[in-house]
Amino acid sequence: MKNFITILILSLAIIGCQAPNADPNGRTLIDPTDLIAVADSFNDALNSGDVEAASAMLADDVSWGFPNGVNIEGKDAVTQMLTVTTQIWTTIDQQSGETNYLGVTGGEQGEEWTALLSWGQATYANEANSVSVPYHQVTWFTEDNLIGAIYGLYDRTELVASYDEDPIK
Amino acid sequence: MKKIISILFMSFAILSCETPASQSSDFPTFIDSEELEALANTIQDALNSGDVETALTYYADEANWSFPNGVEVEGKEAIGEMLKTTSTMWDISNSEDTNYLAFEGSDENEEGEEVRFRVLMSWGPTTFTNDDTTITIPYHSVQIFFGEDNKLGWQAGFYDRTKFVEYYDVDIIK
Repeated sequence: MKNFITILILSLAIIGCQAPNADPNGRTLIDPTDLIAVADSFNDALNSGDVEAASAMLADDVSWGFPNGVNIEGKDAVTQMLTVTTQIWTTIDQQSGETNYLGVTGGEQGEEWTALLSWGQATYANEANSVSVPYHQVTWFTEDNLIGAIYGLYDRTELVASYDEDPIK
Repeated sequence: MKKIISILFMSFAILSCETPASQSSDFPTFIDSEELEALANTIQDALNSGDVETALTYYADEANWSFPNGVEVEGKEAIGEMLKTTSTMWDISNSEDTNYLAFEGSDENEEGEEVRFRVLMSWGPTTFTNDDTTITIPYHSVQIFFGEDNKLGWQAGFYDRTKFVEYYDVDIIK
């Protein structure tokens, strides 16, 4: 699967080397470097259990969508969720494998949005378990590069099996 | 097929970035997703009606299907066997709220032949239904079509399988 994801993203990188071209819905590829830097910092904070640092990168009205349909809204609620999950998992690494990125912008004037798409592998580990799964995430950013929303799509089967009580419900 | 295509496009990416002035119709570009959406829907409609043979006519011989638990089904024949099981078990439909993004490009393969590829990505709720149960989940799909006849060469789904595993007596994707 990695090879095909690489093909996909390299192909998209080709587009990024050319003049920007929008699709019929006005979406355009952008240089994702600045967005990746924020994503890296956020991942590093999570991976080290530094919830305060991770929370500082979130917009006040941030939302976090999970693959089981749960959506957590607001900085306080997301920070609380991160506090709980970082107590369960000593490692939360959403870039544990080779991660490929694509930056996209779009939207009507005055309602523009910027998003970072990523494909790779996530690893959640503690003393009892280590779970690695293929991982896709869409991260939306505010104008000042705070994280406005996160939407993660991955298989939670092994994670759920490891919990006495699912913290994402 | 994986290795060949991977090398092919990696080389292509490097060359294209070194020569930005050489932009041509060969370079990948965003496209209207409607045609690929229609193709994907045709395949899904065939599967929903239990017509695996028709669905398979849209697949390349060396097609791959990647599942979110890491399982990869390799080859048209193996995909056919998998689809015979899943299509009898589920009727699958995408939400009208599904978002699509598509692009296309082309390059030469090892034989010097030009190969066109087109990619369809989608995000949205997908519903799996049968007489016993209905499961609706957030779903991300990536499908890569190759050649002038748009054979489906690779597809992957990113979604939570928890409810499926709970439903199955024996997990059919393993």
